[in-house]
Formats: sequence, C-alpha cells, structure tokens
Amino acid sequence: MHGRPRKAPTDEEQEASSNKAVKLRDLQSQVLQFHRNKIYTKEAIEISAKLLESNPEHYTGWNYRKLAVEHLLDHLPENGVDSESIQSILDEELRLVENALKRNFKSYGAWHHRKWILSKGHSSTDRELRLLSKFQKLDSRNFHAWNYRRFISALKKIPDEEELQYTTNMIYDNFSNYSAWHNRSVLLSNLLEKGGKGYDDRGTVLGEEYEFVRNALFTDPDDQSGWFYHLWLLEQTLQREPLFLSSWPPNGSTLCLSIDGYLNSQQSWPMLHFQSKARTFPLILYFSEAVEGVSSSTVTVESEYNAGGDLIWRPLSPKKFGFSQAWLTDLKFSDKVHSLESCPVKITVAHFPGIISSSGMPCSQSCHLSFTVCVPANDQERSEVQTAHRISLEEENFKALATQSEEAKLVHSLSKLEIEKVNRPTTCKQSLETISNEIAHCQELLSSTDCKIGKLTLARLWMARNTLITYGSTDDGTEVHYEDILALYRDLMKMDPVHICYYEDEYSLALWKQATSNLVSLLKHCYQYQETSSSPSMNPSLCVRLNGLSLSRIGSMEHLLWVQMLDLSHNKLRSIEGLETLQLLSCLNLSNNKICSFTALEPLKKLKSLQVLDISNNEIGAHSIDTRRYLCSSPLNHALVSEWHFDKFASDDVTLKDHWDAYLIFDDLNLIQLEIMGNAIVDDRLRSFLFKLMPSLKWIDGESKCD
Amino acid sequence: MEEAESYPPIDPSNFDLIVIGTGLPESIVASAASAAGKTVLHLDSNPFYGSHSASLPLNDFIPFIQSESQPQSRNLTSDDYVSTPVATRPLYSAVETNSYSSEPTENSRKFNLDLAGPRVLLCSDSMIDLILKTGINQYMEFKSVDASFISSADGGLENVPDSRSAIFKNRGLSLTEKNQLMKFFKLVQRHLGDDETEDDKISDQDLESPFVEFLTKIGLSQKLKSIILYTIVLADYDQENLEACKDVISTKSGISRLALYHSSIGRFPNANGAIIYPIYGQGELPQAFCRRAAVKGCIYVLRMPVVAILNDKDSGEYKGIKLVSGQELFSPKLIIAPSFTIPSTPNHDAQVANSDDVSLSDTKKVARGICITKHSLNTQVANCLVFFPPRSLYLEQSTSVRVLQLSSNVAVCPSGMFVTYLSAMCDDNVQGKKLLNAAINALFSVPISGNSENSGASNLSEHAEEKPCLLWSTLYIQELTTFQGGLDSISKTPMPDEHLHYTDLLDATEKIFKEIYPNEEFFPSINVSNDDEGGGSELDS
Amino acid sequence: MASRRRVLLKVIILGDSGVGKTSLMNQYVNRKFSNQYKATIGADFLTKEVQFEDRIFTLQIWDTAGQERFQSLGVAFYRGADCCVLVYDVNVAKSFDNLNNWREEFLIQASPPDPENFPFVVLGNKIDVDGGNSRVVSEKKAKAWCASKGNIPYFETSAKEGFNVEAAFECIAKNALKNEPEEELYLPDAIDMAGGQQQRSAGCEC
Repeated sequence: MHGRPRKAPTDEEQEASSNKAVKLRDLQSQVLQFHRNKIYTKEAIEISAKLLESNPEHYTGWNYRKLAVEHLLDHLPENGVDSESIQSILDEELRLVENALKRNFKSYGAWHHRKWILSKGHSSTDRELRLLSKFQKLDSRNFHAWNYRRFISALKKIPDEEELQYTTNMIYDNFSNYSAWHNRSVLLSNLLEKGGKGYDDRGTVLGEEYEFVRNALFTDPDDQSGWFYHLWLLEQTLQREPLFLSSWPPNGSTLCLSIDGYLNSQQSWPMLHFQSKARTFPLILYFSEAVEGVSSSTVTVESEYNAGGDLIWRPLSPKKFGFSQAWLTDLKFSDKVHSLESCPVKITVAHFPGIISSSGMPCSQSCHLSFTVCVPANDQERSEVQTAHRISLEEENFKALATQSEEAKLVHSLSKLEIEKVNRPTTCKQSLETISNEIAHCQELLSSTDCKIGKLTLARLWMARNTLITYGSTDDGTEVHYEDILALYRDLMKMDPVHICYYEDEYSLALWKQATSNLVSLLKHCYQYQETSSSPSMNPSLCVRLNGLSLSRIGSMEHLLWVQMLDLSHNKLRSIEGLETLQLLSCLNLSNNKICSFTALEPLKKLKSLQVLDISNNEIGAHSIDTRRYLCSSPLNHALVSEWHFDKFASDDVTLKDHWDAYLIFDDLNLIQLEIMGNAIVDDRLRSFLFKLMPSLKWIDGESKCD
Repeated sequence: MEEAESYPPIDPSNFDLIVIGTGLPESIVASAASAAGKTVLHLDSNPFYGSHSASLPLNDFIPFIQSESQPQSRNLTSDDYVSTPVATRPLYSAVETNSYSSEPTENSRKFNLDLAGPRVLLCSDSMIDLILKTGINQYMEFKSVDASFISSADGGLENVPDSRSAIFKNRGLSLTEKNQLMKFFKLVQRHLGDDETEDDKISDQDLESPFVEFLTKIGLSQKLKSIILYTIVLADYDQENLEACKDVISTKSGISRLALYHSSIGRFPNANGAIIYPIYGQGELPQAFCRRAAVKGCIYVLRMPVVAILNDKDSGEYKGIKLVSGQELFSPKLIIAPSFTIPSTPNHDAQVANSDDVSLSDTKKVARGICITKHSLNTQVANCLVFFPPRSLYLEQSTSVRVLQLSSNVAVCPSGMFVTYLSAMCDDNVQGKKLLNAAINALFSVPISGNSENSGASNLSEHAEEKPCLLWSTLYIQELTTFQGGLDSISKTPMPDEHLHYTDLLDATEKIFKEIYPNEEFFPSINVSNDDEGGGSELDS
Repeated sequence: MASRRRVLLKVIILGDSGVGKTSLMNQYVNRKFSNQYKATIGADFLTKEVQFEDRIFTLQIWDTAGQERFQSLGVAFYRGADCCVLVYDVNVAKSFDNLNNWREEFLIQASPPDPENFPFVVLGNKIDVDGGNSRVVSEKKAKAWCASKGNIPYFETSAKEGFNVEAAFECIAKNALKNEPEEELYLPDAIDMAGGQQQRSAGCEC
C-alpha cells in the first residue's frame, strides 16, 4: 500500500506472521503434491481453494485449479451433462475468484482465472458486468477491472458506442479518472477505424472530443488525466503519412566519383565530389519519420551502368527493429564505365504503397529524384597520395561564410528539399485548423493559469503547427517563431526542474530545427575551415558548426545529409543518435560534451568516411557506475560475434573486461586522428590499444604513433 | 367538544421540566433534558407530533394553519395559585388555496406536507451531527436531493456547479468561468487548510469585508457571484445592494458556509451531493427526538391542551400549569411553544409579557407556498432545489426565493406526483405573495380557471416539455418569532425560521437549554447504559 | 425506522402499559427478566438474527418506550412494520378490551396496503401470576377474538418464566416474512449514515 509508514513488527506480530507462513507453506506443498500427482478429489480441491483464498498470487495453484475443472467437466456422469451441473462447477470457481479478489483486488492470477472461466461460455456476462460496476464504484481507476471490462464487452459483443457512453458517465462522475479516458481512446480508435454511422467524419468526432476534454482542462488544469487524453487527440489529429524528405546525393546534383582526396576538393554546385576507391557511393533516403519496407521493390533505381543485381537497403538508425528514418544503399558503378561519362540516375520512391511508418500509415506519395554520376579519368597520374595533415580545429581557423560566396550558394542548393513529388500531399486543412484552435484555447488558459502541462502542450502545439506547415504544401510563412517555443521550454526548465532533462531534449530539437530548417539561419552556422598553419594548397572545407548551443540531443537531419565536417562541441550531448545518417561525415568534433561511455558513440560505427574524431573533455569513465555503458546493441549479438577478434589485441595490459566497449566502437572505424584527452578513462594502455586496433590511426591527442 | 373527551390523569404531578408543544425545538430540549436525567413531561394539544414543524396529510394541512384555538373557558380557577389563562395566537396569515384537481385531496393520507418547508439538511451541518450523536439516525432514513438549479437569464434552469464534477459537466458556464470557479474553491480550501503557509491565507481585512466585495475583488463574473451567494452560501437578501441589505454576509461567514457545503459532499457513501432530505418529511425529526426522550423516561401526552399558568400567590413565581382536564401539574421550569401568549398579570415579569406585544413593523415574516404537480421540473431529477436570486424574477425582487421539489421516492406524496415547497423572506403579506407567485408562474403552468374541477381536468393534458401543471397550491405567510430565554422560569421556543437549514434553530434551542440548565451537557456522548436491572440497555446492531 | 431491505424485519409490540411488552422482548432476545418495573426506561429496540429455511434475517423489535401510556405513539413508530404483536395481561380485563383499539389504531396509522391480511400475533402474557388464579381473560375468549379478526395466531406466555416466548416469536418472524414488501413505497438506496463519520479514503492509483 502506498503511503503507509513502515513500522518494525512487534514480537507478537512476527510470531503471528511466521505462523501464517508455516500454514501457507504447508498448504502450498500439499497443492503442489496434488498437482504433480494429478489428484483432483473434492478434499484436494478444497485445500487448493484455501490456499488461493489466502494467497491469490500462487500461480501454480490457479493452474492446478484449471486442470481440476477440466477434469471435473470431463468426468461428469453421462446423464448429468447439462448446463446446470457445468454451471455449478464454474460458479464455484467464480466464487473462489471473488474471495481471492477480496483478498487482493489486483491479483493477476485471479483475474486471469476468471477470464478463463468466462471463456468457457456458460456464465452470465450480465452478472459480470454488475460485479464490475460494483468494483469500479469502489475504485474507478483499477486497471484490472477496466481490462476485464474490455474482455467482457468483447465476449458479450457490447457495441463500442455503449461502452463509450459508459466511459462518458464515469468521466462525468469524476474527470480525474485516467482509466476511463484511456478506455475512451481505445474505443474511439476502433470506432474511427471501422467508420460507420456517426464515426465516418474523423474531424467532427475528434472535434467533439476536444470540446469534451477542454472542460476538464479548464476546470482543473493541474489534473493530468485530461492532458494525457488531449495528447492522444493531438496524435490522432497529427497522424499523417510519412513523407520522403531528402536524399543524398541531392536531386539535380552531379556526383564525381574520385579515388583520391583527403578532404574533398572544392565543391561548387552542382558538382559534388566523393572519394571512393571501390567506385561505390552511398545513396541515402531520408523520411519524415521512421519507416520500414524500403527495398528494391519499393524503390527503383534506374541507371544504365548499375552494377546490376538487387540493391540491398539497410536501415540507418534502428531504434525499432526494421524501422528507420534514414535508409542506405550502395550504388556501385561498374568498371566498364569510362571516364568522363555522365550517367544519369533516376530514383523512384514508393511507387507501390509499401513503405509504412511505425504507426501503420503508408507512404503513398510517389517521388522522383535524379542526379548524375560522372567518373573522372583514371587519376593514376595523380599518384601522389595526399598526405594527411593533422587538423587542429582551432577557433581561428574558422571563418564565417560571406553571403554571396560560392559556399553559401552551395549550401543554399544543398539544403533545399527539392524533390519532384508526383502526388502532392495536401496538408489537411482540418488538422491545421484544429491545431490553431487548440493553440488559441491553450493560450486562453495560460493567460489566467500558470500551468506547466499547459505550457508544454502549447510548445508541442507550436512545433506541430510548424511541422504541418513546412511539410505541407502551404508554406504561407505563418510558422511560429522558434524563439517563442524556446522561451517556453526555458520557462519549463525553471518551473519544473524535476523534468529538466526532458525539456532540454525538446529544447534541443526545437533549436536544431530553428538552426537547420531555415536557409538564413543555416548559413549562420556554416563556416569555412582552413588550416592556417598548413600548406595553402589545402582547400578550405565547409563546416557546419552547432557548438555552444546547450544541445542535449541531435535533431532531424533532413537538411544536413551532405555535411562532411561537423562541430558539435561545447554542448550537453549525452547521446549522438542521429549522427549515423551523416554518411559523408569525415570530421566530427564532439569535445566538451556529456558523453559518458564509448558505447554512446555507437552511431559512429556506421560512418565509414569518418577520419577525424574529437571526443576530448567528455565524461567517459567519470562515473564508477556508468549507467549508459550497457545501453548498446549487445556485444553478444550474433551478428557481431562472428567478427569478434578481440584476442588479437589482448595482452597483459589490455583485457576484455576493460576494453570491450572501446573495441566494439573503434574496430569499425578508420580514424586517422583522434582527440581523446580529458576523459577519465584515458590512459596509456588505452592509447596503445587504440593504435593497435586502428592501423590507419596516426595521432592520438597530437601524439603520433611512434611517440 | 371538550365535554365529551375524557382526559386521563397524569401521575406523578411533579416534574423537573414541563414542555408544552412538540415542535422541533421543544422536542430537542425535552430530549436533552431527559438525557441529562431530568424528569420531563411533554404535552401537545394536537393529536400528532411536531406542531409547527410537523408534516401533515393534505386534508389536515390547511385546517391546521387556519386554526385559531379558542381560549378555554372552564377549569380556569385554582384554589392555591394565581391562574393565568393562556391562549395561542395564530402565527400564520393570508392563507390562500387553489385546487385544480381532486386527485390530491382524494389521496390525502399519502401526503406528508411540511408546515415549515422548504427545508433540507446539509450532510455536514450541526443538525446531522446531532442526529448522529444522539443515535436518532436509527429512527430515520434519508435520501439525496439530486440536484440544485439556479434560474438563468433566459428563464430556464441551470445546474448549480457546486463541485468539481458539477463544474465539469455544466453547460452554462464559459470555460474561463469554470476555471475561475474551481480556482476559487481551491483558494478557499487552501485558506482553511491546516498545513498551508501564510501566503495561502486570506487577509483579515478581506475576511471582515462583505463576501460580495471579496468575490468581486478576485474577479469572479456576475454569474458566478450569484451562484455562490444564493445557492451555496444561501443568502436571503440582495447582497449587491449593501445599504438596503438586512443581512450582509461577511467573507468569513461566506467561506465557512462554503466549506460546510463542500465538506457535505461525499460525507456519506451513497449520498450524491451535499444535500439530503428525510423520508416521510421533516416531521420525522421531532418524532425521533421525542422517541429518544421517551426512551430516557420522558412522559408523552398528546391531545392535552394547557389552559392556564399557575403562579404563586405571594411571590408571583411560576409554579406550574393547569390542564384542560383540570389537573394541576408542577415543575420548576417550563418551556412553551412559540404560538402561546400569556397575558400579563400583576406580579408577572413584564419582559415575558411585552415580548408578545411586538409591533407589527418589527415582525419578520416568511412567505411559504406548496404546489402539487404531476410532472417534475426537470425530467432528469426527482428531488431538487431551485433558487431565484434577487432581481431574477423582477427588478424589485429584494430577497431570494428558494424552491424544493420532492417526489414520491421520499414518501411525501403519492406515486406519480411531486410536491414543491417555496419560501422567501418578506416585509409584508403583499410582498410575500408577489415573490412566490412570480416564482410559481416561472416554474409552473397555472390552470386558468381557479377552483373549477372540470376545467382543471382539461387543463391537465400535460405538455410535459412545458412547465408542469398545477394540481393544487397554497400560499401563506408565517410570522417569525425569536425565542425568549429562561426569564422567570419560562422559556419560549422560536418558530421555524426562514432558512433552508436548521442551524440557527438548533443554536437557539441549545441556548435555551443552556439557560435553563447551565450545568448540564447538551446531549452527553452516548455510553452503553449500565442499567442492567430493567434490561433496558440500548442494544442494537 | 426500519429500512426496507429484505433482510431486516420490523416488528412492533403494542398493548397497554404494564402488560409486559418490554419483558417479553428482553426474554426473547436476552433471556433476561427483571421484576423491577421501570416503565420501560431505556428500552428502544432490540435485534436478533433468525434463521428461516436457509436464509438469515434480522428481526428488529421495537418497544413503545412508554409512549403508549397516554396513547401518544407517533405515526413514525408504526411505519414500515412487517408484523404487529398485540399483548395483553390475562389478569387485566381492560388490557384485553383495548386490543381492538390497538389493532385499529395500527391499521389507521400504518396504512398497510392489504389491511385484511396484515400479520398480527396476539400474546396473552403473565399466565404465571398467582399460579394462574388471578386470571380474568380465558384462553377461549381470547382465541375467539383472534379468530374473528382473521385467524390471528394466539400464544399464552410468561415472560418471567420464559414460557412460550420462543415459540411466539418464531411465529412472529414467520409472519413478518410473509409480508414481503410489495409496498408501493419501495424506497431503494436510502443513505447509510452508519459509517458517516469516516472520511472516504483515496484509492491507490496503480
């Protein structure tokens, strides 16, 4: 029971409870014996009743009972098989369950047994409903009762409309009844899916529900039940198809495959360079939400010089198994292609419905995108392998972009999401109206009540509105200023410090959106990086800097698929989920963040192009119990085990116990430069281990291998 | 008539206390005195209990309120004492009755009409506490009043949003009003809570100010103020008109009444709201108290008028009473019902006498009415309250009209009928009738021709969606009297007051008791009687 | 006032003062008798559980609390009675003569829906006094009256000796049961005040 202070039991109490325990154990062993020996006599059954009435949690006891019932039913005398005798056997069970429930109202075993009996079909469902009403009067929120109610309704085939009315009555009684609201959402989902009388117009039905719950929100804004239901309603309103957003290579670009080049040479739209010895390059498709079903049957790649065979698409960020926002495949161009030939590639996405979001909505919008690939002349002549230079990442090496510069234009082109959409999705006007309506009401409420859930809801509503506008066809510029949203989250962090991590994450997402989805703001974050101390022949690189913004989380990548150099230093990142999408990333700065384990770097394993990594001044190894250390795909995952070659690196100094996570992450990487100092875990042993692990690695913390 | 009666002799003839009249205050005092171990004789001239607090069958109702007892003419003299005849004066006036159908009178005995209606009980009020304390809840049963309504601007009835769920359900309030009202309820709760900080308390200055001003100060809309003042706090007089208001309610008082209301909600497991009503009518209360008194030894004699007061020939002190049977009975103290008048005698304490000769202008009055119909005011509920705040019926309406509808499920009328009580404070009969008639016309449809039963019948083709049609109605004015304390050993109890509740009446009754027995506790807590000899312990489930 | 729940049966005992009503009640419920006549001070109502067939009932027996002395029983006393017991003292003729009045008074006040068939039971008490020698009402006379009023069951009892009291009340209980409520006024869901002083506890939220 909640809220009862614990008191040390008195001697008498202890004695009484140990006596009870003895009796109970005795009963238990008896029942187990009956069970094993399949004894179903009247006495045995009575003993089991005694046991279950005093300990309804005894799972095996219930199983025994079920077997006993079956036994009894099977052994009814020939002429005695009528519904009455069956009923009396079953009624006895129901009576037992009732007694057990009196003891512990929330016993799973008891409820399950009751369901089992009812499924046999001889018992009165009316009586069950009456019993349920009684239970729910006593405690209207008990989820067992509600669960059971759903079961009985299904059994009795009570129409959902009737059950909906029941929840309405319960809510009228006490609108704090979270379970009633929840049941309502379940029933409405069914009704809306089935359609039918009164439920075919989704917008109207949801509108009535908004009105209904609004009364609760205004009457008592501090009561959470109404807000949770409101959230569900918003999810229903915002439900939409997944959209194909962006790709790399971008639509209309020309990709030059090259063999050499450390950092890609100066690019200028539409020419993009990609270094690949194997003549393959990644094709990345990015969607508005996690989807599954991206395969060669749902995405067609038309190109003359395709190396042939079905393409294998891999999800890039498997949070939910098989679902991902970003999908990757490698396009290989055969050797037969000669230099300077341009090969147009046309991609058609989703021309069958087959790509489905995790909420079950299909992507029905078909898109085309096309780009050109050219393979330059065999550059064996330029045999001089460019020596890699160490990158210092010093502040002075960054220069802001001039607005009309080539780079700016490049960014401009890269960040536009121009995809030829065959079926333009229409922004549901109704959804937009509903959201605007809810925003107005929310603001009305907040004008007189300082309520944190209200503020959170308003922030979510504003974000949702922006999303609807940007992803829909109406880009009428009525987006909400992100500054307002950020201000709300800052308020919330102060008002509700308990949930500060959540607010920081939402804040980061909003900030990320603000920074990247608008060209003007994106340009502010683009810099030219040039190593002043190195040879001027090194071309300046384009770097996106999102440092020092208090980001705790990484946001949507749709505008950043092209990024090769990314600065995320001086933030609050604990996790870098989302970075795996940036397949072109070659230089990544994560210094001065809150990364506290190697396993948090798991997303980097997919970045084949990554060469420079700065994770200095984080918190790896700072805590003796690293709570995030084990939040990774299991090292015992069968896919990895076959590749487990740790023994190669084991030595007296380097043990599996200490370094398995570093191994896990760095084994896949081909880093040239690594900054790692300022983390508690770093020591010489680790450094030497890493040098051994990554043959390409030249510098750790500025010290070269040979030092 | 009296000659034919044979009056039984009463034995003993000396008592600690004699109580004349079995109205509610008298019954409570008799019961309290018996509980304190006093020997009590309790008399009533009527053949039923309850006197002005009784519930009567329909055909007995009007005769009772119209009756004026004749002064007794015989047996008035006494040999040993100065015998001063008593008389009762009528406390009801301007009785008006309209019968539109014979159905009610044909079922007269199935009615239990309250003389002092409308009256209800709040589950947490002092009368309920007393009922529980004395155990007389075992003699009675109660039912919930299902809903309260307030008349709305368009002439309809709106539910009173008196609790969280009622606010939620309410269709008449705007969203902002709902938010404001709930916030206000929470504010009051915090103010009264024990473990809240100083910031949560309402300032003393605010507490002393009129409640209506405080409500305005915190920004409640006119509608919300009206609801709080007239349907929850139950103010009688127009609170907005502070100069003319005869009873301005302070914030402190308003808040405690609000708290009382809220603590009443949910006090009893199957009571829906804050308000309950005794099955069989308010007349059950005096009967229950009398029974309790009887259990403690009080002697009960109905149908026994008292004709004279006996005073000592020398000292003029009160000594006893003389019954219509001629018997003389004695006690050190006497309690008399409000309708008694005792003409002044030479040695008699002038104060007691003068108190009966109050000038008319100081007399407070309450107008009461009863209507019988076949349809409910609201199809969703059987028992309900309706409030018409000042100025809602007509502009000059200066007092609130309260209405209580009861159905047969509280056994006050035959099945299928409804009884509706109305009351309002008034200065005079004309004003009183005007108030009630305005409310009646707002709620009911009055058949056009008055007493004719034929046209009454045709008018009874009910349009149930329309207002219910009257079958029978009565209006009367009741005088309000104050109690007089134990001067010269005689105390007079008050008439039923103008309120919906019993709180003031109970306070006055307790005061009377304390004055006559300053050293006794008013109903000490019940302990199991150790009176084993008679086997008379109050054992029960 | 007895509630109209099926398991509770209200029985009232009527009769002149001093015929032994309270003593009969006490003898049946508590198996006690006291010689002291205290004019029923303190007697209110007593309850006893009785079993009939396989059901259990609570018999609630209401004493007149002395209010019968001057015929001053209130209508509330009579309401809802399932059975009415009429008691007289076999040694006091007047008490027998008054039975008729008591019966009629009951029928007027209680207004049962089927007055012809309302269950009465008559008890002739105090048959022990003076070895039966001071008896003035014969059993025959009493039985005749009972028969004339619809075959009212009749018992001769002595509360003091405990004679026939159990049998009488068994009959009373059986008769009370016959009178299952078909009353027009079925009053469901009356408010239960017994637990009234406790706060409703807030339920656990899991």
